[in-house]
Amino acid sequence: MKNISDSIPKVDAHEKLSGSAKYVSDYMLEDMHYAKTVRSPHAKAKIKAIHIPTLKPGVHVFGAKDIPAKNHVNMIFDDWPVFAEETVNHVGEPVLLVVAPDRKLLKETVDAIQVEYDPLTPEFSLKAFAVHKAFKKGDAEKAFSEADEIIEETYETGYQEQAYIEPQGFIGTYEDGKTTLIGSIQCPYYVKNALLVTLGCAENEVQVIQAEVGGAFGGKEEFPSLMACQLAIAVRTLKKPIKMIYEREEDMAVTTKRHPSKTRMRAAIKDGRVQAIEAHVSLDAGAYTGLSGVVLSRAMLAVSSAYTIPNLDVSGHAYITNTVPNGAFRGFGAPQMIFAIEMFMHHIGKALGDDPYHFRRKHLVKQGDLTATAGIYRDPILMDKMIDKATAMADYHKKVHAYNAPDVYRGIGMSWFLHGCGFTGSGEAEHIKSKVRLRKDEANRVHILVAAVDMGQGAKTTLRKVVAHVLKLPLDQVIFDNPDTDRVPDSGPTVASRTAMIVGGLLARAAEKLKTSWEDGVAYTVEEQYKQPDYIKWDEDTMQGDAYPAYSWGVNIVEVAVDPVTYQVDVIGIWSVYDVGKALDERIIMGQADGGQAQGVAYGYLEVMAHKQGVLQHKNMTDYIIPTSVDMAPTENVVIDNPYAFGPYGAKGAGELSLVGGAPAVAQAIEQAIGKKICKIPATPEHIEELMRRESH
Amino acid sequence: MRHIIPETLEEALHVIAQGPTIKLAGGTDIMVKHRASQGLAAKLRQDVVYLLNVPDLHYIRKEDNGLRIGGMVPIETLLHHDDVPKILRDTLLDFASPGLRYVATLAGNIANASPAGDALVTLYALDALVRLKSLERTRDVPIEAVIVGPSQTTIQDDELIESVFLPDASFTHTEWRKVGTRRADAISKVAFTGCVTLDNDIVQDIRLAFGAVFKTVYRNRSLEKALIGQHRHDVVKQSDALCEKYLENIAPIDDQRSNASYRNTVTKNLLKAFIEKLS
Repeated sequence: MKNISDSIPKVDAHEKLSGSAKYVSDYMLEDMHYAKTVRSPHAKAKIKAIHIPTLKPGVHVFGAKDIPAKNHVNMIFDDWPVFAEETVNHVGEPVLLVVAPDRKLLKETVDAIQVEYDPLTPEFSLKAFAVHKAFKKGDAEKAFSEADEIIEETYETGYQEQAYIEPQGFIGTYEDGKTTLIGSIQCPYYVKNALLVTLGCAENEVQVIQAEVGGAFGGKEEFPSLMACQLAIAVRTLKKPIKMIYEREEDMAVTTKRHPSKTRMRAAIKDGRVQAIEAHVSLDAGAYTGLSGVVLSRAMLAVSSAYTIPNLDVSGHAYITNTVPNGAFRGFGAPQMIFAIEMFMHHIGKALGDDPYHFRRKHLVKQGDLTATAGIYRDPILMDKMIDKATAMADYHKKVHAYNAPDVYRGIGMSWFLHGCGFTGSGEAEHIKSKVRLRKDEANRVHILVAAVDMGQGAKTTLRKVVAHVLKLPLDQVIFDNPDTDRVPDSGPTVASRTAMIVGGLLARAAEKLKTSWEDGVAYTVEEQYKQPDYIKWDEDTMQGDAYPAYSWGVNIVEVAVDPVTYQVDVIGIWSVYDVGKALDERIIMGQADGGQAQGVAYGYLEVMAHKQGVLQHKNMTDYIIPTSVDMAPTENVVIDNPYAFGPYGAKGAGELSLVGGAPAVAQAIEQAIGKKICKIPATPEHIEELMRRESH
Repeated sequence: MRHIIPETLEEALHVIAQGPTIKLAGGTDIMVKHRASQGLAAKLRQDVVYLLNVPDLHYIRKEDNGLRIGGMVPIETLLHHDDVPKILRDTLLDFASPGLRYVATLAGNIANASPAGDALVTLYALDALVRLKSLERTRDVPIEAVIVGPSQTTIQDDELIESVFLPDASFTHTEWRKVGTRRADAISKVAFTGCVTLDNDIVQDIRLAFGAVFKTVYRNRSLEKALIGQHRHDVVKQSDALCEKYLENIAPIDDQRSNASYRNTVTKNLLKAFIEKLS
């Protein structure tokens, strides 16, 4: 049988390249109306009065008072209002939704509405927390009391904007008592469940359909639920199709971003080894908690990354500030922590006068070691082989030595990392309970019925390949249409590097079932539901046990030159080795590698976003700088096989892995090039200038 | 509001003589500036005169003592034209993105009068003369007298930029440095053009122009003049003092792209690096 990793043309490539793919803004329906949001200009204020002018025919205004049931967006924390009611807590918070038959009238009405506010004092510093979590491993206190030396550092990371090509958008329609939302989304059932809570209606009164998605990166995980709830209220009342598409500026100003973070780390050193780490991570959640608690968990769980540290004392807070809420973004808390731990281990090695490479390597995780939460790394870990491969590809050892010479302004950095695949803890088994179906029709075609979204990562291609491979069917006999909650079961959200491994694993099992029961010309459906492997044990309250069913692993090496005149960083090369279990399609994995590295490395040195009094200063793609092809270096990526028993053909997670190690690798490279310690990203030319100036005085 | 597409320069001059208009070259700045919200037409509140395709403004001509470039010649054309001075071609290679370069023009860059306009830095260094034409008159104005501040020019309503004249100059060494927010398709945080002519180690001519660190491109002729006639080694010796003098005069700002401290330091570093090449 053909190797599943062999690349095939992506199944959606032609429709996307030819322009025939239908994105939400391409939908034009009869009597279609448009919607736009009236937003708060204040970071914090009390709403005193709302003055709505006499509305022209066909124009309608909706707000908190029009919500049939609950005024919150259904998420893990229910603190995020659909419409502000008495107070606004961040600039851009939605107060009202205006609907009009044309866009000119829409704009005029939005501009004419006056909301009177009593401004209140906003909070921008990390003072009031909404979530606190902590866990321990071993006896950190004892290790600190016996330490030869204690080393402490604080690491900071900034915002990151997903910068998907297609801004957020929905179109809502109404027919026979049913409200249908078609949108650019990652999680059809998150949207549906949010609608049920906010509308207080029956299951069969709402339907959610995924349009083609032009990129998401986590940005379309929870935020679309907010838009959908607002729009659904209007659609159900007016019983007309209504379209709401954000413009780039609106999207960047009000949608969720990566949490800025500050991580304080202390290490107890004895006999040249790290015996214990005490870590505290602070995340800026923005105005509402949303998913911040889970982002915080993933950050904390990554505390020791690819190292085994016998004793840990880990805590974290997610703080509420009067800024735009932060949320899901590829990596989900891990990039912040992996930056901190990778820099910290490197800095400790240097501080001890050891070669940081050897120092780090002697702490590397081995199979059978205990994870940060005292779970067990059960599966083979190939990091030794991967590091040797990557360092050889990059000629790392020779370069790292040569670049230690003064005034060469070149540097090379390396990160080692893991990423937990699937939901954190027992999330898969207890919250998601993923369900998939395969429907075989009379023409012997097999329809994949899952809620997984292809947002560019190739899910349509890889999941079809898995099913076709198991059933030994030609690919065109396997159908995968965009999810529609009336048609597909809840196989869970398209997040957390879970689609290939968890959904793909279930589909492979369903396909096996179908294969054994196969009857030519007969239509029937098979179903599979997620079962957690028996050996996985997790205690949510104490954060002890196996935090993830499996881990993907990676090595990134980044080489830079820094211009001593302008402090500009030129990324010269990127070399990577990944263990994603088994590539379901080699080219798709290489695409994930290149894209994730670009996003991860740019997070470390290029992408800047900041707010001033709660107003984001980077308002569009001219201000918010992401790398162009000219900024990206040539890459050399290798994927090694290390099949995971429960993944389809051994596949594990791949979507986030390639991002999480980029920042520390580039930061270490810059650090070597300029001979100054970097504890904060992005390491922009402005930051480098400051470091050079500060120490030269 | 009317959209007017003149076919000749003459016709264009007649149109603009009638009152204030928006003169649209490639539109790469105007269309952004006047962009309306989603699905609505651009908010252009005056008559728009489309000049990009007026054939009379599309020429590159060698004249006595210099090169004359028609106002509507696209940047991309200049990039590949042998008569265009190398320092300008070096600059234009960093100008915006390939797509924009096919419609953007020197006249547009001048009229937009951004302190961060890349072409402007080199046009200042080359002592460019801007030919402003109306029905009534033609005047050749030095570029620094045309641009007076961000988005502010001395161009009258009835005038358009007919051409740009670059007086002949030959330099021993030229340098263009764009310090953008990234390596391509970026707005400059600092930009620098340096040109120097040496004869037997004596400075005959030196021109130093800086972008994005002042309300217009910054060039200081008296500081330049003081260096003329000096031995190159003597100039190198003064590099720190010279840098200080420039730093006293420029006025960079903090914005979403960079900050004043960085702009000051990099201005100094760029100038110092250029001067030290004379050693």
